[in-house]
Amino acid sequence: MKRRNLGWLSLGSVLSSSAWADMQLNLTKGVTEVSRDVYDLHMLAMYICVAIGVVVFGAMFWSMVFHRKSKGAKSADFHESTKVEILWTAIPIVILIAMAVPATKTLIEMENNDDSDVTIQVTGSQWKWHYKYFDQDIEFYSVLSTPREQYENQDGTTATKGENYLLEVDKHLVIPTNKKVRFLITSDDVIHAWWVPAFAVKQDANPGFINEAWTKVDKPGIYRGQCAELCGKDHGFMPIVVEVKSEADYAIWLEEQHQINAQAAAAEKASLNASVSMEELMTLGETTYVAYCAACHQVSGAGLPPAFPALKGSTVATGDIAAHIDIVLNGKAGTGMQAYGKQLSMKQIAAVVTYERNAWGNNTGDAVQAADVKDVAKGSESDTAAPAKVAEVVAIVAEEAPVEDLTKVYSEDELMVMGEQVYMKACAACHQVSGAGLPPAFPALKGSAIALGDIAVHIDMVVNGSKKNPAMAAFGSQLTKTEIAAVVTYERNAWGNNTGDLVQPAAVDAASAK
Amino acid sequence: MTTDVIEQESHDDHHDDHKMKGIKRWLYTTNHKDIGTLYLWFAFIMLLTGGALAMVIRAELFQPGLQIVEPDFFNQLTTVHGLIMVFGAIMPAFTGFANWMIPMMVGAPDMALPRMNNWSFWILPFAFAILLSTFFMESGAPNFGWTFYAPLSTTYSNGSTAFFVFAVHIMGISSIMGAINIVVTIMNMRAPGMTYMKMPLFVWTFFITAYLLIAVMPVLAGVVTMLLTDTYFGTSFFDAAGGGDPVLFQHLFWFFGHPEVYIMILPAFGIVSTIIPAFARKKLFGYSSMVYATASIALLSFIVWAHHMFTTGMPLFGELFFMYCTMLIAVPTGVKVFNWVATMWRGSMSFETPMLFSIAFVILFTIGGFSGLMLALTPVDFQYHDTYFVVAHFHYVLVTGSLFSIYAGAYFWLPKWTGHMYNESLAKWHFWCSLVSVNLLFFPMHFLGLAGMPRRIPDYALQFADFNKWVSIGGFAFGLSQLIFLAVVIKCIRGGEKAPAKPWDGAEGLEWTVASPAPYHTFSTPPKID
Repeated sequence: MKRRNLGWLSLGSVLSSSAWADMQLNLTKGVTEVSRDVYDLHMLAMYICVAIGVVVFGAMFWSMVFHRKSKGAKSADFHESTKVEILWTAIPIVILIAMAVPATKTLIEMENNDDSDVTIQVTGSQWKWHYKYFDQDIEFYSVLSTPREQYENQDGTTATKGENYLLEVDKHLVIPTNKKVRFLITSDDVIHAWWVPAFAVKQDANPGFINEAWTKVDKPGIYRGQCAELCGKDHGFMPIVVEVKSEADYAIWLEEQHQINAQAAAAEKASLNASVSMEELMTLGETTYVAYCAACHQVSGAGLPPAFPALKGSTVATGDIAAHIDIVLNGKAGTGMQAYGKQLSMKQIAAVVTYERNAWGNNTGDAVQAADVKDVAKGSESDTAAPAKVAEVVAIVAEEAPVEDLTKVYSEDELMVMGEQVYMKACAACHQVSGAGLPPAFPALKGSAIALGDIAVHIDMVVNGSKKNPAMAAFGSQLTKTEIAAVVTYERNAWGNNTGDLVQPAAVDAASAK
Repeated sequence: MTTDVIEQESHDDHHDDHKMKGIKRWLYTTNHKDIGTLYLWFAFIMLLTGGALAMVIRAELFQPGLQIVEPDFFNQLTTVHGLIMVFGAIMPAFTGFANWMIPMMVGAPDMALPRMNNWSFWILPFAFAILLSTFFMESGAPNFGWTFYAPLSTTYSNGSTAFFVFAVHIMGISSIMGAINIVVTIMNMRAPGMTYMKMPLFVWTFFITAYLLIAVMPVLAGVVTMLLTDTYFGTSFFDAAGGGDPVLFQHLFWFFGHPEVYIMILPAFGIVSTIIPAFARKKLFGYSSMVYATASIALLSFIVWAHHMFTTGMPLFGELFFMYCTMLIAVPTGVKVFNWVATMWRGSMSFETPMLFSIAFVILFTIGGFSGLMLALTPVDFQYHDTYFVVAHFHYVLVTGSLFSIYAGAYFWLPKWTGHMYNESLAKWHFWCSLVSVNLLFFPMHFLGLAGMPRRIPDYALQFADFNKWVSIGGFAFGLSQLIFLAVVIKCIRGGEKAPAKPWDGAEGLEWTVASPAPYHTFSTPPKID
């Protein structure tokens, strides 16, 4: 008796260990039309399963109770019936069709990525998310903000966990309500998956490929999700937080971001001339290190060899300063070491390098300044960075043809040769050299309606970009009219698009004048 | 019948069965019963090993925060747990059943290729020794999930990939050899008069499973080899930077992986279809429809693989095709469940342990089938995919499905294998402890998944804390309950009530016409089938 009481007591303590009311048993209804459709479909499927279960298990239990030997049941003789077999093949098929119809409808709606109002590129990397707003010049990383001491309890410590433990980040993704927001999802390293249950959006982030998803949220709020595809050590520590704002608040937020960007650029410039004290470098270095480096290299600097080498006493952290800065700036190919050039300011990089060179007994005494980082960054840009080269080429082209003769009539050969060069430079990154594109984000031009259809529409698309697809930029200001004429001619005649159309600069001039 | 048995026994007594003594008997054996025993013991040892890993996982997940292991080691645990349970526990256990029972059920003296049989078992311990040895290396064990998606398992792996690939190759070779042996035995060594449609359903399910193995194991071998060359020899099958595609990996893997899940459940159907009629004392309902249903499940299993990949960015047409095909599998699976219920209906049932495990199998496997049907619906799969809902689903079909059928079969044939009756009350303890704890372990995982908990994470948000605690308690209880089974088996081998040739009055089949324990050599002259 006593024992039984104890049992109930311990069960009771498990039950009462936290508020029952908070316990979620079912799928979320979410805050979009699609997520509600998905929820309805889930409930339909579940009720059907429960109904079938009641019938089948009911029959089983009935026969277990009434057809048992101990009750004197004698076994019947039947063991075959084609009629019955056909019946219980046909009925499930009908039930399945009843489920497939709404499922198909919802799926078609989910896969309709057209006509979006806002496009955001989402890039996963180990173990954070990067968001880039098209046409807004806003981009940022979003990193777990739960303090390390809350989850690292191996030494027996139990820091109180916050309300949004493991589901909080330093910078929220912000989107407007009632606008169709399209996500272009990709990855820098391994496969991740971007998942926000309240939107019913889950898409894999595949390195080298772009996936699409969209949402249209009707309720402002903060919605939380997580990476859903195993992506290495800290897979459980890269949450997603989306803040949905009303359209007006969203506009204000955009303006704020632009101001912050301008301030950051100014601060970056200022830091290049400033000489920061060792103490300040070490303090900033430590916070940066803990936030960005300690996941792999550990707070102690001992790393997790062999995948994540130690920094304490390492040749990188005690050797050549420039090499050290270079590895932080540009990463190390073929390893988990990422390039932090885009993620951290030069001041932060200077601080973290300083920290690594002086912490854990690496007492080199080196103090690295932002200007030193700039020097290394410059050096590596001249031999690797593509954007610089493109800028150079553009400059050269501009010098060669200072005045554009819009009345000049080019031959087919001239247009095609020039067009191919322009295409390779400005278009092939997305639409590919073969013209096959990378659908669905970057459609094929080979055999496409645009490249084979109306010339004016084609020119307009190149000059002004796409209204539906923000990934298609406006090239009117980036290319000369001659170049646009050439590239349009090229696209209309390459890869078997043999329209025979020759587009001259005058036509482009006329079209862009409208 | 009784006289037959006595004759057979005395007949055997006159002959030396030529078995060696000690360890050599087991190393050199070509006897299907010895090899079956080896497979079964190996599978049980692997079950306990994989189970021990799972216990560490559940201990870490007992409460929020990282208390016991580092996240990277946690990933190693989940990876090796999956690999061991799939390739080391469930598959070898079924091969053990095939070895022991198929020759006796078709009236053959042994498997068709006995030396290959020896080899296909004895390479297995080496495969798992290689796999487990990685735990003691500097790199650590494979940490990329049992599905080893590229590029996490190639460019970003921790250096264990080569060992992993080599181990999988050996497991694959073993499976292919075992499967060839089953097919050749069934096709060539049936007793005169045993036509295909007179074979026990048990034999049919293994026959079809063996074909699945021969079809898909080479695909697995191919994909792990591509993984190896991507990692160490600079190829780019799965690397976009070199013109490859990481999603190609998933297509190849799941083209193996989906038939693989049927490889692990079709034999379970065979075992349960043998046991339910025996304890309902009524013939199996719809034998021929059972054969056709098994064959159609096997065929369909080749055209549904991408339902594991709905979130990879498939075109709409692909999503619809794989959704419809996957839903279609519910039809033949439903036919099987209905046939089992119809077999029980108006039978004369008794509930010994094999029957209890079989009935639990039908109910709990069906629950796993329900969640499978829900997962087939692409729009909702976007919500379920890679959450604990999926973990609940495949543990219902693999643990309360495959593993429960293995227990049912083990209790059913233990008297034939050992010559003793097992201890029924201890066995019932095993059943009831397992039944309660396994549901405490896996049922709340449905709720966790629906509430949004992703799988393969070492730590979780606070709203998942309560269910995880229950699940862990269920896990420890289920793990410990399996030790009762060990006790039952050891007791049964060492002694107990002497088993008659046919201990179950409703059982049918040639295996019950020979003495218990089954003599070392059976059916040296084929039996007559009418």
